[in-house]
Amino acid sequence: MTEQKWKMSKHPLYRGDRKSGVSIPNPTADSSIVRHILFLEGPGRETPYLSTSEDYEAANNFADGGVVWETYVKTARAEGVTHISRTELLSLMKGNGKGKAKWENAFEVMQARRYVEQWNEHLLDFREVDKPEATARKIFKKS
Amino acid sequence: MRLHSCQNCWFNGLQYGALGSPVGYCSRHKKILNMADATTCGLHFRKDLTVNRAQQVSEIHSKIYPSDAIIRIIDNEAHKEDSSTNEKDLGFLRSNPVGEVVSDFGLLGSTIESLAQLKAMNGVRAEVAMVSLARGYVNNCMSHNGKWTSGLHLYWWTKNRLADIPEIKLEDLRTVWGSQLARQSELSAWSVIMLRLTFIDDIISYASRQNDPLGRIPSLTEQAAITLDTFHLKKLSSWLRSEAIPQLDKRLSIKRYAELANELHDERAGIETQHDVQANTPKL
Repeated sequence: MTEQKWKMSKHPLYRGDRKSGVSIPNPTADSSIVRHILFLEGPGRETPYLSTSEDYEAANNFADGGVVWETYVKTARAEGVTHISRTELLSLMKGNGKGKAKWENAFEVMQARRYVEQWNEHLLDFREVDKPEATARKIFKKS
Repeated sequence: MRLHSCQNCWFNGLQYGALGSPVGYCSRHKKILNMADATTCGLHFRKDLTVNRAQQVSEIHSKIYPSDAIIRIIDNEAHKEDSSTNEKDLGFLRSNPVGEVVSDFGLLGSTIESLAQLKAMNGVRAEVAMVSLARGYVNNCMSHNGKWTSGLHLYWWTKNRLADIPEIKLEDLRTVWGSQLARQSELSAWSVIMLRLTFIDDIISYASRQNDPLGRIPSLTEQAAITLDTFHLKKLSSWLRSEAIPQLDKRLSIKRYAELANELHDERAGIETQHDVQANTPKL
């Protein structure tokens, strides 16, 4: 249970993923945030984002027999990864969405927004990263 | 909670997101799902999407996963412990009223009777089971050249409680994902109302394919999402009462519902008579 408010400067972001390492984002893949959060193309889909959560338990639920990884916003930023916070995501996902969260189906925007809130989700954006594999490995460590 | 896992599938009536029982039940594989957040199969249909999008996603999904096995997402392998058909396990599941109806679904003569049983039960878990399985039931009827009215009663029952705010009890939640209990409860209530609305949209979509006046209503999930930009349950309920339900009632009044229900009854009686005649005709 989250007892204190998550602070970017103090608290890590967690991600549930395989034991061997976190999934590798593709900086040139479709950058729609709603498409990413709703996982519309299923496994193997290309995405420039990695989803993370403020909550260990939420990440652990996604690990499904894998492990929970963690990083800090400061660490990610130092490697050129952009942080899109939960608050920013929630503000982008209203109606048909804004910016990279713009989407033709408003209901799907709303469902994605609900997931962001339920999972306390933050995105790490790799669109400006030259070496996504090396960077993803560098910024995450096992929690 | 992976969105392509068994917990988010039409054919699992026992779970949806944070709601439901510790195990799921697959009405296609007829198995208890011990790890519903971690497993999937090629028959998967997503609960959180409208029917057309769910169909699109399902087509992608079915190319990746086998339809004849429940497999673990993390390693694409079937693990014995992930599901069960053990009599003791089934007996335990059936000791719960919702679990009993869900595990009987499709085994007894009429699936609609199972859905009617769920409708008559109190509680959000019975409702999640009814609407989840109803989506699969009507879609199956439609894919076998059925009429949209195969979901007529299910539509009516769902419409009648569309604006009610579901009461989420502590025992209805299977997780809070490390977040605040009260907020998870509100978001879960929201997801149940959206599940109802998604089913109503399914029926509108089927009615549209068959040129019924009900099919002329613009998507209600879309209207709701454009109108409401916060997860405020009372505002949603008020919008459903003042905006959504009048649109539905205008296209399908209680009088028209009764007429269509009578037509359905007559059709069914006709089919049963035909069957009786065939069964009693001596073979030459």
